[in-house]
Formats: sequence, structure tokens, C-alpha cells
Amino acid sequence: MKGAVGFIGIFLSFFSEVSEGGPLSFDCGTKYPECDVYCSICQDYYGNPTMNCLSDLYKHCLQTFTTEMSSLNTTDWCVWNKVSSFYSNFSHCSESMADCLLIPWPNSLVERFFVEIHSKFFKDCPTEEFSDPPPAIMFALVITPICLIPVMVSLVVLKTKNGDGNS
Amino acid sequence: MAERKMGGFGWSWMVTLMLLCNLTKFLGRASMEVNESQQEHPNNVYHDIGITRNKIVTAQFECYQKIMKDDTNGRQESMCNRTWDGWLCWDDTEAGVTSEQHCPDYFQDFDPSEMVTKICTESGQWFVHPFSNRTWSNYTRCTEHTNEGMMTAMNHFYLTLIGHGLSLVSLLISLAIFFHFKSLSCQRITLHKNLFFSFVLNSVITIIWLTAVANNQELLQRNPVSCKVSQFIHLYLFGCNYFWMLCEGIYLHTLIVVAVFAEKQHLMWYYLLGWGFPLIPASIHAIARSYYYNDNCWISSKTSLLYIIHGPICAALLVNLFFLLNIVRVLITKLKVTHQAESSLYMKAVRATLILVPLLGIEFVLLPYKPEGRVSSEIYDYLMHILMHYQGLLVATIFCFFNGEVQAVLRRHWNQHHIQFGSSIGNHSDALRSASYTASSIIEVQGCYTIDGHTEHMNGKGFHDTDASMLKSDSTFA
Repeated sequence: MKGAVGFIGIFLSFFSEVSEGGPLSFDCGTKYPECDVYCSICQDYYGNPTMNCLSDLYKHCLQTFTTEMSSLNTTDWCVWNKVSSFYSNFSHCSESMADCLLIPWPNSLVERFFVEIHSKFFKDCPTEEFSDPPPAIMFALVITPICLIPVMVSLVVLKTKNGDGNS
Repeated sequence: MAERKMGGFGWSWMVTLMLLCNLTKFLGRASMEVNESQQEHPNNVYHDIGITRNKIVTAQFECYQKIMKDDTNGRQESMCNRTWDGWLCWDDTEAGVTSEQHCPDYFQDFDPSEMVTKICTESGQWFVHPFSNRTWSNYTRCTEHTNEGMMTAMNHFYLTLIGHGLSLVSLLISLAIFFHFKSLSCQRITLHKNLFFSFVLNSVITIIWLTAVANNQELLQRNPVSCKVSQFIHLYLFGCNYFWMLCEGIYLHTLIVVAVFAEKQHLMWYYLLGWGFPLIPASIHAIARSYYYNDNCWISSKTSLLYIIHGPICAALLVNLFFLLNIVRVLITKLKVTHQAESSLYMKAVRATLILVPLLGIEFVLLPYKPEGRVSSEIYDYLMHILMHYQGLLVATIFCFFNGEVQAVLRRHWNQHHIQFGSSIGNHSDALRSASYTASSIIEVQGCYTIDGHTEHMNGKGFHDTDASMLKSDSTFA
């Protein structure tokens, strides 16, 4: 964590010094305005837009996400409406950085980061994925009303059979 | 001889139907397709980037939850690992297999009935596109037929709305006829009224569901309780249609086969079966749905929980078919012994109901056989839409507009009207013709199969006697 904070310090300082960076020796994405910043960081520290550089950049996204999540009660971590915007920001952060460095998104690094935050924050969240009940229960549920039909029909037939004209 | 033939035919028919009903697996798949065609309405505009983004991020969250819970046991050596490709989640896939799933509904120009493919190569790695040098899922088919798909979806949407609109109009006209002409009122007509009323309610709720819920992405996202309640009512009324059909069948059966002396049956039990019973499957479905498959507005039809609704409907149709075939058997026996006039009155009613059972149930029989080809599957879609959404029109036509009694009453009424306003012309032949119509209509009114109140409207005791003798002749052969 300390390392990450230290890195963020360097990272932020680069925001102000971006103009001082020399010409880039590689292609840089232009999709987002902050692309120049990301590319120059990689240029200065790694020489190339490598996965290691992306990994370091991601620590910034992770830091933001962690801060945002810690502003919530731990009980709210599984409430999707409360975390969705933070999650979306993190996802966007990782995607835009990869786009800037012209690295395909999603990739194995992205996957590692996501699995990390999921294990950290969402490990015990009930899975939202919908699934059918087990076959035995399913069968019971379907067969119950079907079995009631003959009962109901014979009831109607028997009860109306002896109907009298007075009613 | 004829009876045995009829029975044999009926049994083979029933066995086929039963087999088909048992293939619930297919039913589910097909109903899924039906729902999807409902969902791809032309007005599903995803201009709102927020909704699209939200859908993707939600899917992504679910996917990484799944990836996190990665269980490696039971996995073979060469397998492509489960992964998130940016739009869809892909499960672990065996090497050399091409994984397939439906296109996502994130974007307006994506056709959710088309498929996305992702190839797992022999080496157990996801396919890497040679040009871009990155792992690649094939989404090209999602937009390939978008324009035609949109056209078809739009046609289906309007076809559905027009169908329910026409059904509503014809049903309301029929109900008006039944309520206006008191001479028609008898128990069977009361059952008709209930059946029609259930169709009216079903059409209304379907129109509401299609225009206000299924078409409203914002509401689906918000997922309020009211939309689940409306889905519950929707499924309940869907069941009511078929159970009132069953009531019609039971009524005829009781009248003709079980007890010919039952001049008036306790309708209370029919109400209980027609309006009460469908509550059971609908409630079981609702409870099971909230426990197991609690999706937004319960709109998805990819769950087999829908068999809870479809199963009893299939069973009701089968029971009804059994009753009707039994009635036909009894009537044919009678026809052979007695002169035809009386039984043929019953025969008309049975024929009407017998026509409707396969017509109403055929969608469940046809559902599993969606053809593969593009053109043929489109024809299939149109056919299914017409069968499913024009039922009200069909029922009103067969039970009311083609009904001899109703036609006679209307004709009589028209002639009376004509005499009243046309008497100044003094056309005798017209008056004569109307008189003969009146007489014939009175005879046809007996087709109501009861000798309650409406005989008073016939202004003649002689007809009462005819009725009594008719019943007597029935009793000897019952």
C-alpha cells in the first residue's frame, strides 16, 4: 500500500511536469486527453508502454477505488447501486489507460486486478446470477398444479352433477 | 364402427399431444424466443448511454465474480479459461470447441436473437485475430441483419398490437350482444361471457405489458414491485383463458354425458375453476421466481420456472380434448339411434369447442419446431404471432359471430327493426320473410340446451314441450 501511495506521489507530480517530457519514442493513443501523461510516464520509467508500466498505472486506479470503497460501510459493499459508480470508474480508468498505451483491453493484467478487487471487496457477496432450482424442486413445483387439475375437474363434475333446478 | 374409429383417432391425437407436452425442454427454449421477439421492439432505443454503460458494467461485475470463484477441480488440461471479453462473459471451454451465446442487448443495432461465437483453439487458448493480434470474439452476426431484423421486430410489434386491438373490439361487441339480447342468456352463454371476459382482460394486460413495461428500459432498470405484480397478473390471466376453455368443455360434458337431467348446474364451481384455479400456478411461479430466478420485472423467459404456468395449461387442454372426444363419442351413438335434429344442436356446440381446443393449444405444439432457415423461421414467427395474439378474435368469431343462436337473434332483431321503420312501404313479402325467420330463430334458440328462463321469451308453450321431449329422448340414450 505504501509503495502505491509513493507511486501516486510521483504520478501526480508528473501531471504538472508533463510538458517537460521529451518526444515519445512510441505510438500513443489519442482517445483521451490524459493519454500524453500516461505515455510520458511509461517513456520515462520504462522506456516503452509495457505491461509493467500499465500495472503501475493501474495502481493509481486501484488507489482511487480503494479510497472510494472505504468511504462506504463494509455492509454496503454488496449493494450494487452504491458501488456501481465506483466500479464503473475503476473499469473506465483501466480501460482508458490501456487504450492510451494501445494495449488491448481487457487482458490478463486487467483480469488480475479485477480478481484482486473482487476478492478484496466482493468475495462474500451473494451471486446475482439467476439460476433455476434443482431438478427435484423444479419437478415438484411443476407437477403440483398439474396434479391438482384432475382433482379440481372431478370436483366440478361431481358437484354440478347433482345440481338441482331450484338454485 | 364409426365410434371406434373416432376413438382411435382421438387417442393417437392425445398421445401425440401428451408427448409434445412432455417435451417441456423445447417449450422453454421456444418461449424464450417468443419473449425475445417481444423484447426487440423498435422503440427500445438505447440512446441513453447511461443504461448501456450500466448494463455492461453489471455484466462485467457478475463475470469477474464468476472468474474469482474459479474452481480448478474437474478441469481438463487443455481448456480455455473463463474470461470477460469486454461485452460478454465466456465460460471455461474445452479445446477445439467453438463457444456460442446470444448477442447482448446493449446496443440498438444488436439483434439479441443472433449468436456471438468465440473459438477455443486446439491448444487451449482463445482465438487470436491474425490482423489485430488480440483475442477476438465474433460479434459480426449481431449487426448483420439488423435492418431486416428491426423491420421484422417492428412488424411483429404492430401485428401483436393490432391482433389484441381487433380481439378486444370483437370480444367487446360479442359481450355487448350477449348482454343486450336477454333471450340469449342461459348458462352456456354465461360461460361464454366469462371466457370472453378473461380474453378481454388478457388482451388489456398484454397491451399494457408490451407498451408500458417490456418496452420501457428505464422501468426495467428500476425494477419496481409494480412491474412484477403486472407480470403476475399477466400470467394469471393467461392461465384463465385456458381454464375457462376447460370449463366450457366440462359444462358440455356434464350436460351431455354425465347428467342429462341437470337442467341447471351450479356455476359456482365453474367460477372457482375458471378464475380461482389459475391463481395456484401463478402464485407458485411468483414465489419460486422470487426465491430462485428473481430477475428484473420477471421478464426473462430463459428460466424453466415458466413450465409452472405452461404445464397446467397443457394439461387443461389435454383434459378438455378428452372430454370433447368423449362427447363426440356419445353424440355419435345417439345420432345412430335417434333422428338427427336434436343431437345436431349439441353437435354444433361441440364442434365449436372442438375446433378451438387445437386452435388455442396449437401454439404449444408448434413451439418446439422453429425452423433453422432465415425465411422459414420468419414465416414461423409470423404464424406464431398470429396464432398467439389473434385468439380473442378467433374465439369471438367461432363462439359468437358464427353461433347459430346469435345469428338468428340478430337476424330477428334486424327484421323487427326493418318492419318497424319499413312498414310505411308496406312490403308484405318482407314481413312474411321476417315471420319465417322468427320461427326458425326460435327453434335455433333451443340450442342453448337449457330450459330455463329464456323459454318465456319464446312466447309459446309448445316449444317448452319440444324441449321436454328432447330431453326425454336424450335420457334414454345417456
